[in-house]
Amino acid sequence: MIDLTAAEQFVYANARLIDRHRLAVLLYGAPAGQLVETLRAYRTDDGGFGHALEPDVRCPGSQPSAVLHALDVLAGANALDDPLVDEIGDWLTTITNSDGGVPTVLPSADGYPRAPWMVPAPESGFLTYAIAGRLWQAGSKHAWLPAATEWCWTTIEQADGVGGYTVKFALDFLDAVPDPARAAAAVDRFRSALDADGNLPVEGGTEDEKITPITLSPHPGTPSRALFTSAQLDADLDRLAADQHDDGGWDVDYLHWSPGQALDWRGIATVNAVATLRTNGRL
Amino acid sequence: MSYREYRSPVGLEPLVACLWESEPVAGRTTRVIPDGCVDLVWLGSELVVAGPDTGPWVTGAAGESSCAIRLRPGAAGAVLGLPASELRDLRVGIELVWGVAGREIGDALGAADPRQRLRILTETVLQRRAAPDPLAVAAARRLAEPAAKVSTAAADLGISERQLNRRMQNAVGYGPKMLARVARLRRLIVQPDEEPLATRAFAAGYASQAHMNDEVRRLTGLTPVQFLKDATLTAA
Repeated sequence: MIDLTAAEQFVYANARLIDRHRLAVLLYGAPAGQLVETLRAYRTDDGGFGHALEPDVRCPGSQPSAVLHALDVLAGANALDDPLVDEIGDWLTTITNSDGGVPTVLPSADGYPRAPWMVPAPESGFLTYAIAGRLWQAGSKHAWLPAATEWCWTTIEQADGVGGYTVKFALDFLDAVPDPARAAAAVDRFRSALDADGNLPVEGGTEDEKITPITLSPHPGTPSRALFTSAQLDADLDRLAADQHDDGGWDVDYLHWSPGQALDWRGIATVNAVATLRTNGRL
Repeated sequence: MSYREYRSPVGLEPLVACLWESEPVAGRTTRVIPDGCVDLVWLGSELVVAGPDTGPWVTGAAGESSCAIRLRPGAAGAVLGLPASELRDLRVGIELVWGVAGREIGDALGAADPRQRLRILTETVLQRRAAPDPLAVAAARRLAEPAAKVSTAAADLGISERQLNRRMQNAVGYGPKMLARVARLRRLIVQPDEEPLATRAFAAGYASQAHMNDEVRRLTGLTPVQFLKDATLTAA
């Protein structure tokens, strides 16, 4: 059902250089060196990452979403021991609010093309969850992490009735934070946000936009898996495998607002789909 | 005894089978059977490494609640930083393994709020940034298949049986044959209990019911009937 050759051809035909290297690491065990080198090209003068590394904020300056994307690239290449992780921690301390969290979109996005939901705002937001989660996954001891972790716990344990991507990123944090009993209890708080198939609707998104079980809980054996039955996860993996397009690539279901953004996401989604299917034993 | 398992965080899944907490019930003994794992256990007053077992380990109720992080077969050598075989069938204080750093972790656990202890254990393992021996992990997976043979596993992995044995001693704490026996015992536990014992023995991979009796006695100290009555599969 999954056509790996077609997926590879799609990436060669359409994807960014960085996603081509990600696929090479994933499929052929290529050394992470070239991938990390390519990632460095997205660095900014202030030590963060930008240049539309995350395709929805297309400014040249640093953005938290780009930093999260950089950490994802390193995690996918099993390169979270790279010094870049510590340098990202250093950059994070320069944009962190006094409550320990980081803004979702920085003012450097102003005046540049960006998705309609990527609006600069000063208050701490949900990317803090995912970024803190990746740093924990890296085994980082960076000084940024304790206060950010505290922000995550406080916000999660006070949250009521949250939905959409807030839940996705909160689960990212809970899957990685080394506090298993507390994480298990907190994961359970999000059960009521899911529908009968384990999907999480995204309000205000595209028609029928939803986050599915395998996106919410990509790694087997982690705390967030407690939210889903194996039937729900299996069905979603079937769905993911079937979502491969005739051109070999995958796509995202959120708003396509520019040709470049849409194509960048397709390259990322294709590599991510292959990675997810493999992690979950489908490839 | 109330026992609860928690899942491993992202980043530790290759090393950690689970984390667990347990409240003792007075007067009840606990029987630990071989599972190929090594546990770092907080026993209420000290942090102990429970080495890879080749037979049953029976203790009286400790009287205090305990918690632990359970390292997968093949992960112990890398996380502990010494050949896991040195801890075979032993319970040793953490300072004998990690020296001063170990004692500091033990002290931190003693001083911590009980709800923080699993967090400290998890962080400790996370920050050691260990990677399991991929060869030992691949071998462990092959040896868990029914009818697995050590010679076939070694040949599949492109190494000699002697070399495989050395790698398994370091990573798991005992040789491939023992790990295959442990895996077979775990397969016995998951057989449907409405089937007759002889059928279950055969399905798990034993040559005969007598073979099963002998093996279960050696690994658990119990008869299969006694053993299967209370056995539940823990994460390993």
